[in-house]
This record gives sequence, C-alpha cells and structure tokens, in this order.
Amino acid sequence: MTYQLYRNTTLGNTLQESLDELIQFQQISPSLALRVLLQFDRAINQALANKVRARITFKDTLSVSYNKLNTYRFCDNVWTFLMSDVEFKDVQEFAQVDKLKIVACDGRGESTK
Amino acid sequence: MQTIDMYPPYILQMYGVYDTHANKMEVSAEQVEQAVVEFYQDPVAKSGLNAWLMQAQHSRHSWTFAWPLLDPSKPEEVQFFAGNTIYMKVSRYWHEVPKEEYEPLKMKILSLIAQYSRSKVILNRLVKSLGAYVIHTIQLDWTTAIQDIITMFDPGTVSGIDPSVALNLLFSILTIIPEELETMQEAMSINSKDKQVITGAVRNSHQAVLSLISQVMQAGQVSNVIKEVVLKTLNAWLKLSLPLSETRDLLVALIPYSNYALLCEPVMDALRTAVTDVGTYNIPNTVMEFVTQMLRLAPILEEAQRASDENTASLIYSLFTSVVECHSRLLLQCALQAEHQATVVQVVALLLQCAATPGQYPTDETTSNIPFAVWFTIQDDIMTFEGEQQAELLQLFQPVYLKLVDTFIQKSLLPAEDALTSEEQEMFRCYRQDICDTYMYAYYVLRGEMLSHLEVHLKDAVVKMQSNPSDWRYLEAVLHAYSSVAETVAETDNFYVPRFIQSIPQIPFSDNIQLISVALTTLGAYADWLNYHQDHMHHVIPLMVEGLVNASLVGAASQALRDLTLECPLTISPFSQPILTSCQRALEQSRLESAETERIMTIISRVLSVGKDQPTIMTYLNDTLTPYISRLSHLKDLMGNGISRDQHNELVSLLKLLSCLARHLNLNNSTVEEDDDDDGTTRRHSQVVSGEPQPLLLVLQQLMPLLSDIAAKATTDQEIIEALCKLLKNSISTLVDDCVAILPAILEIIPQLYEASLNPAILDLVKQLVILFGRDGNQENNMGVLLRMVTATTLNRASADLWSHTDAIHGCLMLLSASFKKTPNLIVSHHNHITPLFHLGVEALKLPEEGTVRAAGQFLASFINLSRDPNVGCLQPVVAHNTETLVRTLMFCICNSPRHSLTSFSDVLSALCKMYGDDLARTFKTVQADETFLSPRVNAQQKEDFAKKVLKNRGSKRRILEAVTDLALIGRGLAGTDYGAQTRGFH
Repeated sequence: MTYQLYRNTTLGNTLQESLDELIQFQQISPSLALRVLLQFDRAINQALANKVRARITFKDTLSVSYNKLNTYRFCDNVWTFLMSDVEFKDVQEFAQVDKLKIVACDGRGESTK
Repeated sequence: MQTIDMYPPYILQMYGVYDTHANKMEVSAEQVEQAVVEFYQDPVAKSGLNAWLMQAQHSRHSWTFAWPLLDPSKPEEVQFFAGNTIYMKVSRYWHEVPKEEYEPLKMKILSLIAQYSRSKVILNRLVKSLGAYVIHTIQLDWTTAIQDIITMFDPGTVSGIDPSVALNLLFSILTIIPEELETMQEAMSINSKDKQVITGAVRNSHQAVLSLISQVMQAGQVSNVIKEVVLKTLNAWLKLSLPLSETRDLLVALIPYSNYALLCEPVMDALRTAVTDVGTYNIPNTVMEFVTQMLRLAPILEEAQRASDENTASLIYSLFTSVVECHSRLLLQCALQAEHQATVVQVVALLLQCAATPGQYPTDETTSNIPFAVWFTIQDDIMTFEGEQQAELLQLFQPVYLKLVDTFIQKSLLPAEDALTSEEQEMFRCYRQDICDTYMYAYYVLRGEMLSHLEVHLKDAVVKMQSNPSDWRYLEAVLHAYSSVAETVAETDNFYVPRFIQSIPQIPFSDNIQLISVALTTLGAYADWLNYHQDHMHHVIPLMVEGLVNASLVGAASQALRDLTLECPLTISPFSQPILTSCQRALEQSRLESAETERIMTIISRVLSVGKDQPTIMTYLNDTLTPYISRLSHLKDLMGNGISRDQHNELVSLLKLLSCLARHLNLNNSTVEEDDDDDGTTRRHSQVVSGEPQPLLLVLQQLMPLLSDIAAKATTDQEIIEALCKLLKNSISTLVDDCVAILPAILEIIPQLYEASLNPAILDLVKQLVILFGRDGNQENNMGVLLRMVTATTLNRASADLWSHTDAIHGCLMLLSASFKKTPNLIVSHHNHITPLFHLGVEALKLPEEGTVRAAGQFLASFINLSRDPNVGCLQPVVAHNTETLVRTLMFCICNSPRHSLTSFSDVLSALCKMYGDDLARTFKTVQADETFLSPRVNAQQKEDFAKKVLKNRGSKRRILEAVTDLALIGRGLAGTDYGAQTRGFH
C-alpha cells in the first residue's frame, strides 16, 4: 500500500515547502509538483517497508512510572497509540521521550489486499 | 494569433519579440532555434532563456514553430526541443486543437514517426505524442485507433521502414498508450471519470493486441530483443486489468520463455501483473487453476539451481512470494479442499526451499530472504479462520513452520570473524532481525511445539559444545531463537520456559564471551516472565552478577540486570545483596564506559528502592557515591583554572550518573500516594511510610553546595547546564513536594544560569517548579519572582534578535502557556510584562521553526481565551489594542509561512473569533480595505471570502482551519490545482 501519512513528517513537510516555493517562482508546474509528491509517497513507503529493520517493544505498565500507554485506537485499518515516558532501546543505548504517538498502518506489499 | 507575455522585457528585447508600443509580439521558429542553441551552449549563464523557452513552449505559437524545427538539418537539441514541445502540446493543450485539425495533426505525427524511426531520443517524444493523441481521440473520433496502428505498422505491409524496425516501433507505440493512460490524470488534467471511460475504450482493443503478441512470440524468426519489447507491451496492457480468463492461455504459453535470461524477467513481470491484479479476487477458481499451471516453472527453477543461476531462481521465488502475499486467504481456503491441497502444499514447499537456499547470506546467496513476508501473511490469515478449519490448517502448516525453525537456526549461524565486510555484516544483521520476527510468527502457529523443538536443538547444541568448545555458533543461534520469542511467550508458558531457564547454569559456556553475552541478553529478554516466576530468579542471577565484574561482559550483564530491576522491582529484592556487591565491585574494578556506569547506577538505585531501611541505604550510598562526589568536587576546583576536554566530559558524565540515581532511587516508586487538598488539586508526597525523608533528599542536601559551585562556574557551558538541569528535574520528579528543602539552592542556581545562557533546559526546569509550587501558599511568591525573572530576561535578551534565540522563545512561550493553564495567578499578578509578552508571541508566529510557531500559537490562544475571564482583567485591553497587528500577522503567515504551521494560526484565529468576534469583524474590514496587503496573490474579494468563512464558523475549529488552508493555497498560487487539492489535508 502507498500511504500518504509520511507527508506529515519533517522530510515530507520540507519537500512540500520546497515544491510550494518552486511553484511560486514558476520553476515547476503544479502537476509536476504533484508527480514529485506521489513519487515521494511511493519511495518512502517502499523504503520504510523494505530497508528498515527496527523492532520496538512497548507495553502498558500501569503501576510503575515508565512506559505508560495512555490511549490506543484502531480505525480504518490504522492503529494509533499515545504513550508517555517511553524508553527506546537500541542495542546498548536507551533514549527516553516524554510523549510518543505511534501511527501504524499495514505495511505489507502493494499487491497485498 | 496569440502573443507571449509575462516574461522579462530584457529577454523579449534580446530576441526581438518585445515591442515597446504593443508590448507583445509573435515568436518565430528562427528565434526559438537561436534561443535553444544559445541555451545549450551555456545553460547556467542563460537561465533566463530557459524561462523564456518554457513560456514559448506553453504559448499557442508553439503549434506553429515546432514543426519546421523537426528537420534533420537542424541541430539535434533543437529537434528534441521541438519533439518535446509537440508532446506537451498534444498531451496538455488538446483543447487548443480545433476538430478539423485532428486528422492533419495525426498525419503529421505519423509521418514524423516514420521519418525519425531510427532516432531513438526524438522518436520517443513523437511516440508519446501519438499515445497522447490516441487517448484524446479514441473515445469518439478515432475509435479504431489500436487496430489502425497495428495495420499501419504491420511489418509485412509497411513501406519505407525496415520490417524489424517497424515491429519494434509498433510495440513501442502499443506500450506507450497504456502508459500514457497512467499519467494522463496528472499531466493532462483529465478527471478520473473520463479516465475510466478512456481506459475502457483502450481496453476494448485488447484482443487484437493479445493476438498480435501471441503471433510474434511464436514466430521463430523474431529475435529475443524484440520479444523482450513485446513482453513489456503485454505487461503494460495487463496493467489495464485484462480478464485473466482471456490472458491465461497466452501467459501459460510464455512460461517456457523464462528459460532465456533476457526474457525471464519480463515473463515473470507479466505473470505477476496478471495474477495479482485486483480483479482476480472475484475469480478464485481461475486463479487457482492458473497457480497450478504456474507450477510448470518448477523444472525451470531446478535447472536454474543446477546451473547456479541465482537471478532466474530469485525471479521465480519472487513471483510465488507475490502470489502468496496477494492470495494467501484463497490459498488457505483451497488447502482445506482435497482437489487443491497439493497445489498449495507445493507452492509453500517451494518457498520453504527458497528460505533454505544453501550458503551464507549475503555472500553465497541473496535469495533466502525473499519469502520473509509470506510467513507472517500465512500465519496472520490462518488466525482469521475459526474452529475446525483453523485446527485443520494448523495441522497442515505446523510441519512447515517447524521446518522453518530448523532452517532459520542454520541460516542464522554467525559467520567466522572477518568473513563479512561491514556492509555485508549490516545486511546479515537485518537478515537475522527478519528471522527474529519470523520466529515470533512461527510461535503463534506452533506454541509449545516450537519451544519443545528449540529444547531439542538446545540439547544438541550443548552436546556439540561439550565435545568441541569451538563449535559454539550453533548454541548461539539457538539462544538467539529463544530470545526472539521471549516477549511473545510472556507469562503464559509454565512448562518449557522454566526448563530453559533451569538449563542455563548447566550450559558449558567455556568462558566464551560472545556466547555468554548472548545468554545474558536472552535472559534479560525474559525479565517479564521472571517477574511472574520468582522461584526461577536464582537460576539467572549468578550469571548476571558474575558478568558484572568481568570487563568484557559488563555491558551485556548490566543491560540484562537493568531490564530485570525495571521489570521485577519486588521479585528481585531477595537477591539484592549479591547484586549490590557485584555492582560495587564493578564500579571499583573496571574501567567502564559512561553508559555502563549509568546502567549500574540505575540497578543500584532500583535495588535499594525496595525493602531496605534508610541506614542501610545511606551506608551503601556513602560507600558507592563518595569517590564520584570527590571526583566531581575535584573537577569543580579545576574549572576555574581551565579544564581539559576529557575532564569536561567526565564532569558531564558524573552529573548524568547522579541523574540516574535521582530518577530511580525512589522508595515510593510503586506506592505513590495521591490525595486531594482542600482546593481540589492533587498533591503528591514522597516521604516514605516510616516518616523518614527519602535517601535521595539526604544525598542532595549534601550535594547542593557542590552543584551550586559548578553552576556558578559553568554559566555558559551548555552541556553542563543541560546535565545539571536534568539532574534537578529528575530529583524534583522523585521528591515532589519534599524537594522544598533544597528549593532555595535551586532558586539561586536558576537565575544565574538563565541570565548568562538562555538555555531552554532551564525553562523546562522552571516549568516543572511553577506547576508544582505555583499555587503553594508558601512558595507562590518565589515562583512569581522566578517567572518574572525568566520572562524579563527572555524579553531583554531575545526581543532584539528573535531569529538567534528561537529555542529560548519556544521554551519561554511553552512555560507561559503551561502557566496560563495551571497558575494564571502568577502571570496576571505582575502587569509589567504582559504587553511585551503578547508582542513577543505575535512576532514569534513569523519564526521559521515549527515548534516555536506552535508554542506561539498555544501561548496566544491561551492568552486570548483567558483574557475574557473577569478575574484577570488586565489581559483584555492588550488583546483589544493589538487585534489588527495580530490579524495582519496571522494572514501574512498563513500565506507565507510553512504550511505545517497552519493549525497553529488557525487555533489563534479560532480563539480570537470566539472571544473577540466583533473586534475581528471590524479588523477584517480594515484589512480588506488595504489593497496593498497580501497583493497581488490575494485580492479584496478573496480576503472578504476568508473573513466571511472565519466569522461564520466561529464555533468550528475544523471549518476555520479549512478557511485558513484555502487562504494558504490562494496565497501560494495553488488554489484550483490538483496539487493544491491533494496537499490540502496535510499540515
């Protein structure tokens, strides 16, 4: 599947800003900008599905003061998790963030469903 | 005749198209030719020419000047420009062609195609022009286009073109037509409804095309190079969703061609396109029959393997992977039917064989990774079946997954050291991660069976290790498998996991560091399970505490113990003595990395937090911390005389170490009391049940003078300030109200640091204090002074140069937003800074960073919302006097700032609309009257429409955001474009 949610990332937003500017300065046409954006959707979906191997585990631990799952929902095949005090474990290192929002879509191949 | 306008006059004068009286003139082929030649001579210097040429290309003149330029006597770049112009005109400016010109235009393009049949680059433009022409006319004007083209370029009858060239040309045209259909919506402004109709019209001719393809593929005299082009045409047409029932015979007949290296890939592409098409979901029987016929590829696969032809094998395996990914549920349904079961079993066996491709990944082979996704899909779909059907499927697939586990243990064996380059190592790491994930899916199918199977492997591996200690890689791979399913088995298994844990002390590790590290990591992964099985803790603790005092193992051991102390705070308590002893020895003996020391301090803090009395804790802490505090004190003394980079880093590490202690040494960690005060606010007490103060407080009371000295000497050292703030923040989080005892020292440190550095970490600390003590009768005054100091300093230091202090402004506005919500009393009780702060918020809207703009939006919205509260009357006049400035800033930013900030602008506008509707309506009128504002992109009418939409929807934040987005698109010249519509919803 090619999702458009990655447009709302730093990379996606920056690309859109650049495209906006290029259109305003008449360097490219809006239709070319749209093609670039659609290509971005395809490329980032493909790259994240095929080139990233990261495993994140988290769980709801209500009584202790870390890794707290505040809200979760599953709507239109999209999972959303809102968490607080989350620790990321990357082999030897830990990183801590106060608030985390995870938006998860079905990342299986384009030919799937 | 239309003329060009809107391009710079100097360009027009240069090329003689600028008339000072009429201001417009025509463009001739000669001028364009001259411009193209000059542009190609020096593209960088002549970038103005590029703009002129583009404009010429888009003008109506281009219909006239392009044709004479398509002459072999002209320079090649001129011919290419002309070819490109014709394609652009036919595809995007079709509306400019009168109906009576359709036929002459077609003839011109066809004759040029024949003329340029051997010039690949220009021919491509002309073929695309013909493709675009067909798409515009096939519906009504040239309904027999496909058949006519097949007849026209028939190699047997065509004149003036070599038959093989004609064949190549014919299939190039037939490929381009469906490809142009794909891009037409974006490039030709054709809506999706028309696209469907045109696609239907093109698809109607598919039988003629399929028949032609079939003939050419069977023709013996046609070369494989041409056949490759033919197969690409087939693939392009299959993408039009042709019915599989009509294409099946042709596709099956193509299977033998996959034996030829050049044709294998296009054959596989065609088969994949056909079998994974969306339309195939409605014809399950046809799909199953087709999949059965596809198994004729098996002998070709075998032959490829015999010939070590990895490319062909990969293509075939990828095809079957796509089939399973696309039709897994259908295949599972068929697996329940006797007549189809053999096909499904054969397909799955093929993929299992792929996973087990012999050799080391990725040096010997790169095919075994192809079907990874399949194992998840099958498992996931099996779970959607219910009752007997699921049981039957599990019975059928359990042997497959067991075989897969065996395969993965072999394939995940670590290679010999230095066998892989760093890039290959990374590929292998990813490969093992995929195996790790697949073990998890296998567990869902196999459950206890998998653990039983792993147990057999574990016993084998131990025996091998005993007989030959150098044969440890098998044991490592088995432990890797155990760790992969650790979080999946969780607390549910009470039979196999206990046996595995009990077997750990019996494993002959032979001091093999790599192996013990993996064992420690695996045990750390079972921390959650151990929390529910305290009686097994004694099997794992010895290995971990021994690991702590071994310099090579301290990394893995500290990580495993850290996991254990975090997951099992209570169950680990009986083992605290050996853990604490080992931690202390580790800190004394080893030369540890900063991260390892921090982990050990976390372990110590967590272990001390449960079941220890205060004297015991203090004694241990004294012993452990004294050397670090002495060292910190020594480094502090050195700070005045210049400190080396290493010493500076050491000081920061020591502060981080104490930060870990402050975060985790909490005797109330699992039993935090919460009760309500008289005023209803929740209060937290950190004091331990016995009434004694927290040990952390005692430590901090001794430490604060030292921290104050460090702060005094490091007022501009950002790294030290951040580490110090983190330490204080963690301490306050742990001690909550009880940090009052150290509050005076903290309140002394903050101003000297902030006045010198404007570091946002300090603002974060201030925010925590203000929220905690802002309504505390004893501390309210102190918090007011603190907040005033921070705001005054930010205004004095940052107002003159906002762009250099965006992080401080961000932090300050976030602090003020929080204070508006939790402690408005602190802001409104001191009027002096309110107006300048409002101005700061308005100016911050123009800053480039998204976070700062969001903070400004939150601050202004909170300010406006609170200003109507009668208890805080001092805010209202500030808003009322500055409404016009705010509205102008918002509208300017909506049209010019990055679009991801639109929500922030909309929030402020919503607040203004809700609280100051009349003032806003008046301000909009003033703004509309100013013709120069936002001109020329936004005209008066558009400004009026925006104002109406905002005022009409004062209760709806969503509608106001829509109005803001529409204005943003107008301001960028994107309104009415597909791009604008597509990007409207994402900010």
